[in-house]
Amino acid sequence: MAIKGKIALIIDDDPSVRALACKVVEGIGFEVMEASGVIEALRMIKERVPHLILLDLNMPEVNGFSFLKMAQQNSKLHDIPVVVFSAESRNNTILKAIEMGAQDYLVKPLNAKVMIQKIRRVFHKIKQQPKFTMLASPKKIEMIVDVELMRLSSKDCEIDGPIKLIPGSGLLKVSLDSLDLKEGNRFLCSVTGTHHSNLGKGRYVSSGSFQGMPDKSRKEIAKLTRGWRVE
Amino acid sequence: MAKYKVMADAMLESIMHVFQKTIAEDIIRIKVAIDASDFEDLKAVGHKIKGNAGGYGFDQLGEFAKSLEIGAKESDLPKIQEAYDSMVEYLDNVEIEYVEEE
Repeated sequence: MAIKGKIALIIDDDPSVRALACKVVEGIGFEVMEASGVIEALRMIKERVPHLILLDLNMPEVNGFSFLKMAQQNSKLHDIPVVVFSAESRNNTILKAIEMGAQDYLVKPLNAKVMIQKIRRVFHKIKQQPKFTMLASPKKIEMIVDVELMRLSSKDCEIDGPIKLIPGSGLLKVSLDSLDLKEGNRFLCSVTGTHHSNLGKGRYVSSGSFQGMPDKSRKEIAKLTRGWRVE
Repeated sequence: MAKYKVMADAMLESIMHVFQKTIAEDIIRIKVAIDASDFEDLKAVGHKIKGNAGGYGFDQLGEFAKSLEIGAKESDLPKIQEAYDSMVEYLDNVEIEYVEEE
């Protein structure tokens, strides 16, 4: 996905951080919007939906985690990639942010080169995001992952979890029918291997978690799998 | 000649005034918080400066801010005062040189 002309929204209560982040993202072609807090950001998003959000975690009033929670539940926000930045470098904070839907995490102080690399990587990931088809019924959740783009074969991938590769089809089939799908159950699946895309050869990592909630709609289940990603 | 020197990316020259204004406000905020023994605010402002200063090349200031944050967590006023004095002294004696990064 080309960056030029895309809009980035920077949410941070500190003007010096916003200025720095603006400088960096403008430098790689983004048009920038700035918000000094979550409430202001939500108002801006209503008027203009950004293609990327850079989000501080530690803000007065409404913090970054609250924004991530809102984004998980809001269809307008759900698909916007969010890169979190924070001076907080503890692993559990980073993992929490990723689990709550952040695409990446930058530890402050911000370094322009690292920031650029991570933002580009987020866009690279989006370009290569496999397509999912979700099928859900009261006793079964099935997910078909179209990895045609990756040209994945059983030879070059290792699979953990209730996943199997349909030979020669370029599809991964995830079937959870043999599991007890009680509300609140959580299943982890991961696929690692090598991908060959038009951008060259690279490492393929895909992992996701499912919350076994059979009564959820297809759309809601799809939301739960947004942790699947390609690196 | 300045006692301290910051080598900042030339890209930051046009926005350095934003950082300088913010840090000047933060220094006042620290002084007010010290006078009020407001450890929560001292922790917050220390954490904020710790995260921001390095982005503009002020790594040493970030270290003083870290010390301030730790002092605030421990409610240790002498430690906080020392960190504050170091920050003020540093900011009074720092010179910025802009360098073109590759």
